[in-house]
Amino acid sequence: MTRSEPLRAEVLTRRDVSLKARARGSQAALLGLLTLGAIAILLPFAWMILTAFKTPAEAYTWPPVWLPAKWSLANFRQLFDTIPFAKMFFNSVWTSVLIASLNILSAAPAAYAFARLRFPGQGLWFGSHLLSLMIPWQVTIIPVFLLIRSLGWYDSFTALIVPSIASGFTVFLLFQFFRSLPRSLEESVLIDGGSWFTALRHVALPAAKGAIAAAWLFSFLGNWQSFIWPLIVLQSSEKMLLPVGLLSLQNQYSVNIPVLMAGATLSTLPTVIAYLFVQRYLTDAAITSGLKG
Amino acid sequence: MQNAAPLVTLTARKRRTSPMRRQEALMAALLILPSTLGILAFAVLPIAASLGISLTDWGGLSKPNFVGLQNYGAALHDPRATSALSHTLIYVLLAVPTGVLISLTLAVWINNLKAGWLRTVFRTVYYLPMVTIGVAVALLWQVLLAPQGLVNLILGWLGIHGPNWLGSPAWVLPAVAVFSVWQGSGQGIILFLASLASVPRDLYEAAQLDGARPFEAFRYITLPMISPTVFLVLVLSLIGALQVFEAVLVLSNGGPGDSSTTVALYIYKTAFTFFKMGYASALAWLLAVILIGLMVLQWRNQSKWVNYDQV
Repeated sequence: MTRSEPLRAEVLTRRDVSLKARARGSQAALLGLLTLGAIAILLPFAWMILTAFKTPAEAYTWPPVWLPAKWSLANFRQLFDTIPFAKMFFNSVWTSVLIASLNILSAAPAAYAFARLRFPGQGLWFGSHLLSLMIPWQVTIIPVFLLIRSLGWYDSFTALIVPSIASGFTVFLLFQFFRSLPRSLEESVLIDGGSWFTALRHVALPAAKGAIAAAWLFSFLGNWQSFIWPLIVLQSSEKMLLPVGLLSLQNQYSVNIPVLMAGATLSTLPTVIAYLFVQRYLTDAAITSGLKG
Repeated sequence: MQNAAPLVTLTARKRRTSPMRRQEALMAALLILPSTLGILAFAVLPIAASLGISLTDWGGLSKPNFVGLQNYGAALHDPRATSALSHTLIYVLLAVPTGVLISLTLAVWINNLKAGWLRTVFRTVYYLPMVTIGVAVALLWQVLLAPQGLVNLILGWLGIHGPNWLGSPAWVLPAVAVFSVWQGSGQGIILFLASLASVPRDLYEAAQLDGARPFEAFRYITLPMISPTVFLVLVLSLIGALQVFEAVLVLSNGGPGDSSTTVALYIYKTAFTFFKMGYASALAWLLAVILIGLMVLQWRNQSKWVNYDQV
């Protein structure tokens, strides 16, 4: 007995060491594979930025050169001279901020009511919100376009903003949150003689700050990327948003790759940099968006 | 996944009198009014209107005439609609299985990393393309996929002579699929990661004690536990791929010829280039039927698959 014990300990440690080494090896392998994948994601972005500083001649050589011989801002200057890029950028920012805020303002109260109150027609109205999530844009875009045109809103920011105020997805996202919020706090307000409104303002809304921030970010990003609707209802160049502006740049500049890449770089970097700071919030909303079924 | 709403009837509520209840209904009406009005005006009514328009020969300008189901019949005999459908299906077959497989593999790898900060780094990097403007990254890939672009340079290192991706009818759909997988795999990855995180650790410990190999643990524990999410991601990417629009519009504008004209692009051009609103609405409904069918399938499965022992 006693003699075998040190032996067993030795065997154990040896097995431990080999297990640890194998675990370390597999961690290194995972890291290597994932890094390859990360390069596949990041290399195109690096290429975009590098190309934005090249001369057209450099962009067309074969085999391609990696680094521009001279780092000049000429392409960016040309971009601002060719299209009202700054204006487009500004248009995209303010419309996305406004629509995201209106989405929250209309969705948060509705989501709270659907999650917490009981009222006639509840299922029908909530069902309408879900229906708006299910129906593909190809179906609704034609009648909404004809409606906008008959209202005389064609080529105005009103046409962009008004149809986007109500957001079924934002309602759904916040509904999920309010439903998971424990009722006890709100109940204590009611028992103390407070109204539903007091409970909403002083208990539910403060608790929902994080969920509301996530929903706002998600909504902002959705509008920032939105392409089809602005393409259809906005026409004049001073009202253009970034995605459509980039498309018009493609039509004018299909032969000048560096200028195109300068535009792509300037429209990509802001959200990418902002995302690095708020990625956790956004990921939460993105997960819920996948679960909207 | 989703916990059912707690059906607690509360003492406070039981004692409520009818004026209280009326007050609650009034309150709710005020709270849901702005959102519901918007949804009715810009989603529910347009759905009905779209059905109506699809039964007319409306060109958007002239007076519409009622033509019954003629548009739907025309769609079935329209060679351009059929070819748009076949391009879409080819693209779906190329992009969806690859995308789901790549997302799942990367998510499992990330999940197996021991260092938490590394998991965050990779998750963040893979999701990056999802926060960019689609047109911007599509323009970028147009440059990368050029005959003398970066993609063909890297293929050249491997001894492969790369094709003229966007300029040849045979390679344009695979090129769009490559772009979409690069752009969209982040969505699948975060859904898989969320699902993998909810697999109870002690199952793995028990398996390890029983001497299960890593692959066996994956095959008999991980995969069954996350199968609802696999199905979810599959359906989501199917729905997305069947509606592919922006990528083909920017990368190839449906060309060369119409070899990359997809259903969504054809609907768009029918409506907003040729102003055949009636016909475009009928095409949109044919697509919508497929998409809604997929969503219903997903819901059914979700309710069947909810894992009650996880709650």
